[in-house]
Formats: sequence, C-alpha cells, structure tokens
Amino acid sequence: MLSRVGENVYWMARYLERAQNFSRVLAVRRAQGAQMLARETNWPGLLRTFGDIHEPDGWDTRDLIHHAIFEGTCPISLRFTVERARENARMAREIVSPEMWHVLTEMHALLGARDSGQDDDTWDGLLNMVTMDALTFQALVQSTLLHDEAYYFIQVGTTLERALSTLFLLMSYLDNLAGWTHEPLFAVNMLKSLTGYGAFRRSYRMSLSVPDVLEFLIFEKAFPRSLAGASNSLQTAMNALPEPWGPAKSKVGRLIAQLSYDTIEMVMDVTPVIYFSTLLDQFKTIHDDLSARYFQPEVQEV
Amino acid sequence: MSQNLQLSPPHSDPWQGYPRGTLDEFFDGKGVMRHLYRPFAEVLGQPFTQWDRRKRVADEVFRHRGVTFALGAGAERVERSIPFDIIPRLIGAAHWRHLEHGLAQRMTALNFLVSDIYGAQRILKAGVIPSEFVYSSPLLKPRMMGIRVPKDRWIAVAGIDVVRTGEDRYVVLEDNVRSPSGVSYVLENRLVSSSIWPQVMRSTSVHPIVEYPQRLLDTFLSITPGKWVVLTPGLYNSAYFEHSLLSSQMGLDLVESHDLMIYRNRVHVRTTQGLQPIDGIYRRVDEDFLDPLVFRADSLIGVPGLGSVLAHEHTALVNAVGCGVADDKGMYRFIPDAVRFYLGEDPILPNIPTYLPSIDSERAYIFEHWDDVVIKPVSESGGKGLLFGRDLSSAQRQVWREEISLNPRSYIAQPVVTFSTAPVYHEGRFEPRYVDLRPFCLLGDDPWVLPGGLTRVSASQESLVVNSSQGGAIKDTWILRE
Repeated sequence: MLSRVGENVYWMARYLERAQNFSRVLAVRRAQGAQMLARETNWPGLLRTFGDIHEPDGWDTRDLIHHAIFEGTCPISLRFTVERARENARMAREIVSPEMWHVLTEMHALLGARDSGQDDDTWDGLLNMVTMDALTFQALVQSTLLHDEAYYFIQVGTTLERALSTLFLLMSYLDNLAGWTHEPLFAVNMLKSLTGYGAFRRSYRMSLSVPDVLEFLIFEKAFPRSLAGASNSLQTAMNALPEPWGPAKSKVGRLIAQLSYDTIEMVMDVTPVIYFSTLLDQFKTIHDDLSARYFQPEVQEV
Repeated sequence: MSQNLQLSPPHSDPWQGYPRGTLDEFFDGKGVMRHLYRPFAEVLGQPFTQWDRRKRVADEVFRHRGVTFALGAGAERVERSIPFDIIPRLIGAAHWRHLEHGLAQRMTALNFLVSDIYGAQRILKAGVIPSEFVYSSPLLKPRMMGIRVPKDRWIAVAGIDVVRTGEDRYVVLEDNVRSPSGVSYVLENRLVSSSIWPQVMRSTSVHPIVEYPQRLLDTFLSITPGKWVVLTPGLYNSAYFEHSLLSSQMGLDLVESHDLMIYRNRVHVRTTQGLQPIDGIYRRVDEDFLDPLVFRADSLIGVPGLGSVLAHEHTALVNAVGCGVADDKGMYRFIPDAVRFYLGEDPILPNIPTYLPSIDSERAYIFEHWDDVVIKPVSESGGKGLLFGRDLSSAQRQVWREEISLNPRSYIAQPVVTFSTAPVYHEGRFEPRYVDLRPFCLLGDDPWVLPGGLTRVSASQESLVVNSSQGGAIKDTWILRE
C-alpha cells in the first residue's frame, strides 16, 4: 500500500483512540471531581500532562473543560482530535468504509456545531457520545474493512495510542499519590478513566492502594488498557506488517520483556516519575522507527 | 404548527406561476405533463410535507456520504453539500438512442483529431482547419508533437455538454476533455433517488449506472494492462470526493504527487514496501501542473520528471497531455468538420453556431450584434468569463471591442441560445430552471456512453448559466428503457 495512506490510517486510528480515551478521562474527572473531598481537581495539570500548551489565566473549571472539549486550536481538545482523525480518513477515503466515514462525520458534526458547548449540563451526554462513537468506529474497523495491510496499520496506531493514553493518565496522577490514602476517589477515578474499575476489583480484593492500582495498570497483561496489555496487542499487530520490520519490532519485544520482568517494587524504588518517563521515551522511539520504516521509506525498488 | 408545515408554506397550487407552452422537460408544448413523468403523477398529489421530508433525506444522505464541494481556501474553507433538486430529469429511450450515437461519434472524432494534430496533421493539410488556428491555440502543447501515446488514446474520458433546444433537438454546448468532473454526483444522485423515490423507481424501468467504475477501469486496462493509479491534486481540491470515490470503486490507489517519483525513467509509487513501478495514471490534475520541470514551474502538485517519461510511451496517461486542444472553445467550431473528415459521416449532434473573431467578417458581425451574442474565453471552463453582450453598456462594449480585436484568438461568440427548463422544488412550489446535460463518454477499444449523466440546473429562473461553481444545482438523470 501507499506509504502516505499507511500513515493516514495509522494517524486516523491514533486520533480516534485518543478521542475515545480523553473523552472518558474528561467525563470521569468532571463527574467525580464534584464529589471529592479536595473538590478542586488539578485541571490545568491534567491538560498539561496530556500535551496542552495553553496557559489558562483566570479560567474556572467550566472554562477549562470547555477548552478541552471544543477549542479548535488546542492540540488535545476533542474537537481538534476528531477533526484530525477525519482529515486523515479523508486522505484515505478509498480505504475507509462508508460506515466508518458516517460515524466520523457524525462525531465531527457533534463537536463542530456552532452552538455546541453552550450548556454545560449537556456535556456529559456529549462526552459519552464521543466515547461510544469512537468505540463504534473501532468495531467497524473490525467488521467492514478488508483485513489487509491498512487494517494492521490501524491496529498498530490504536494499540500504540492506547498505551500512551494510559501512560499519560498515570503521569497525570503522580502529583497526588500521597493523598490517595485519604481520598479513595483518586484511585477509583483513575481506574474508571480506563474502564478498569470492575476488572481491577476482580483481580484485587483488598482496599485500593497506590501500588496495587499501579501494578494493575502497568503489568496486568489480561487488561487491554494496561501498558503490558496494550504492548502485547501492539506486538501482534506489528507482526502482521510487511517484513522487514526494522528496529521498531525488536524495541517492542524488549519493552514487553521489560514489562514481564519488572515489578511494582522496582517502579516504586526508581520512583514512578522516572519509570514512566523512561517508558514514554521507549514508546516514542517505537513510533519514530515505524514512521521511518514504513512512512518515509528510503528509495528502494520492489 | 409543526416544523414541516413551517418549512412548506401552503400554496393552493404549487404550479402557480409556472410557465406553460415553453420548452420544458416536464410539460409538453400544450402545458400537459409529459408521458415520461406519469409515474410522478401520484406523488404530486401528496402533501408537501412529504416533499420537504424527501429533501431533508437527500441532504442527509449527501452529508453522511461526504458528497461535498469546498468553497474558499485555508482557514476560510468550508465544506458544503452539493445543492440537489429532488425531481429527476427523465429522458426517453428514443431521445437517448439519438444522444448516445451522437456522443459516441463525437468522442471518436475528438480522439482522432488530437491524435492527428500531434501526428500526421492530415486535417490541417486538407485545409479543413486552418493551421494557424491550431498553432495559436493556448491549449496546444507543442512538446507533444510527434509523440505517440499508448493505443493512440489521447482522449479516453470526456464529458460532452448538451442542451435541448427543441422537442427532438439536442445540440452540443461544449466538449470537456481536460478533466471532466461530475460523474461521482451522477452515481450518488442515483443512490439518493433510490432512497427518496422507491415506489416511483419500481414502477419505472431506468437504465442502471452502477457499472461506470468498472467500465472506466476496463477502458484503462484496454489502453495498457498493469498497475494504474488515480492522481489527485489533494484533499483541498473541490473534486476530491470524486477522486476518492472512483479510485475506491475501481480498487486503484489514490495518489498525490508526492506519492510518485521518477526512478530509472519510469514512474514509481512509494509504498510501505519500497518503490513500485506503475503503468498508467488517471490524472485529475490539470496538465499545466503535472510536472514543474516541463510545464508550470510554480506547480506544487506535480511530479518532477513526469513530462519526460510520458514522451517514451512507458506510461499511459488519461487523458494525454495536449488533449486540451480539443477543449479549446474555438476548436469546437470545427468538431463537426472533424466528424465528417475522419468518419465520413454527418454529425448526429449539431453545434451552436460559433463566430470566430479571428475571421474579419465574423468579428464585424459580433460587433454589430452585441445584443444577440455571448462572448466566451476559449480556454476557460466551468462558466467562467462568460459575457452576455446585452448586459454591456456602450462604454463596456468599446472596451471589449478593443480587447477582442487585440486578442481575437482568445475569444469566441455564440448566439444566446434558449434551451429547455425543468421544474425544481423550492419551499412548497415548483419553479422552472434551465437545464443542460453532461453525459460521460469513455473510449477504450470502443466508445461507450454512461446511460445517464449530470443534469445541471441554473441558479435562477433568469440565468442561462448552469455551472455548479456559479451557484447552480444538480438533478439525477433517468434514462428510461424501451
């Protein structure tokens, strides 16, 4: 397939997965934040961790959430993310099925409507719709697309973005790990932001503790949104890409080996901040290698 | 009051004010509904809320399927759904047979003409077309002289615009061979019609149009077998939807210029597995922008080196570089002569009389009959640059007189021709609009005409300009079987 189209579907998948995760994060924070003892959750810190470069001055929580959903120039906003997903899908229209396009157009219209976002009591419904539309889109990838090279680039993009989203979420909670003992909702919110609360409860019967929650979200291979689970899915998708795979594949293998042998004690020893930063660099290198191998290939005749 | 009723102000007679006795697709000369449209008689009696509902369904289908065109550029760019009128235009079997034969004949002659101009120039030597007229065409590509193209197919795809000027008379308005667009609207219009007129369609026998992408692919493969791609200027081109639809339905890669590169004197496409040679390009990029090294140096959507490769018959290009000479509005005047010269037949579809300012007597005629003529620039398309003499003041006429005298080869003049109207549905009532028809013709081993076409509708009751870029709308076109 064309390198450019491979890159387009890869990014389309990344942006859709990003929208799905971020809308859930926003919904959970918004709903649960009001119930927490601390009341004010650290919204600017959250947005910064996810990559927002804006420095809000004098904004209240409503302004910040509105910004994170609707601001077209904010690189992490849902509107920006869905617009980019659709733009990439447009450039690969000959691959994207009509059903997938329909869902993307609906999402685009939902976030781009002139009067959207005026009433904040509608935001919960909207955030839920973005998550559900993105999940529908991913189901349509499975059921309406030819499972050829394009499909596997989509899977690679989805799983890599899933791992990164989990990592960003973990990093956004690093500031308040000490407060978890007094405020159990921190842990609940984090798990719910990844739809992992029920799954965690089936694995850990004890009360919520920082090490248990981190251990689950980093190392639990059976949970698809854990770092280990997403990395395993990434490796499966990468194995289906055309050979030679280049250095990205061995780097994913090394990462999976590391996540298999590391323990939560090691994470706490080196401190979660350093551990997560190292992982972030590793995931970014995998993206760079994939990009260099498949999307900007050297001149080489087939 | 419901929203539907608000959308449709009640009219006691929705046809009130609709002119009768003129040349109209829906009513005959006596003002009676034409036999062709009888299947619509029942739905015409339905409450108008139903018509508004159909209009909304049509708009929704277009929006969901991404059938849009772009207006503006950069941050100002907006995507708009194409304005679609829900009443289809119907053409009977006998009229279509006539059109089909005429279009196939013209398509064949157009290809012969371009091949001859860049080859033996028999038609020039025979004096049928003045040599200086061809050599002065702004659309002639001198570097293509003497070059052979695969299977001698210079024009494989054309959109030949026709209008109906009498009960049984159709004339050719213009030939579009450079990059005729609109066929995706034809395909999408039919999907919408099937959604909003299921009962009418069941009671009518209409020629299907679904085979167009397959026919187009067959045409390419008849020129050269192997790997073909569709070349688009990119996402921001107003016809991008069409490029992606056709490539998808033909199973071909849709490429942009930076997906292609010239390597060892062949065109290659960059794939995830390295460079792959390609054998044919269906280009939807204007030929002037194809190669910045050979054509326009400021082109950012071209492939450096492509122009040289095309000279070696390794790669087929549809349509070939240089085909635009047949698209020149001045050359249009000579196409009936080309039909007679190459095919030994009388043209089935006549032209509109065309006056060439480069001929002294005809230039004088134009200047004496400003009220009766429309001036057209020879190398424009899409209704751009049209000038109705009757709209010009004396001072403006003087300015144009000087411009035309200075650049006589850049313009043509034609009498203002009135053609047929068809009803469009607008807020609870019917209004007449002028309509033309763009049928799509292919030339592989044999000519083939898509049994349908794009009916374009003028923006207002007064305007004779039907181009969608000028605010017009489109209609589905149903060709009825015997």
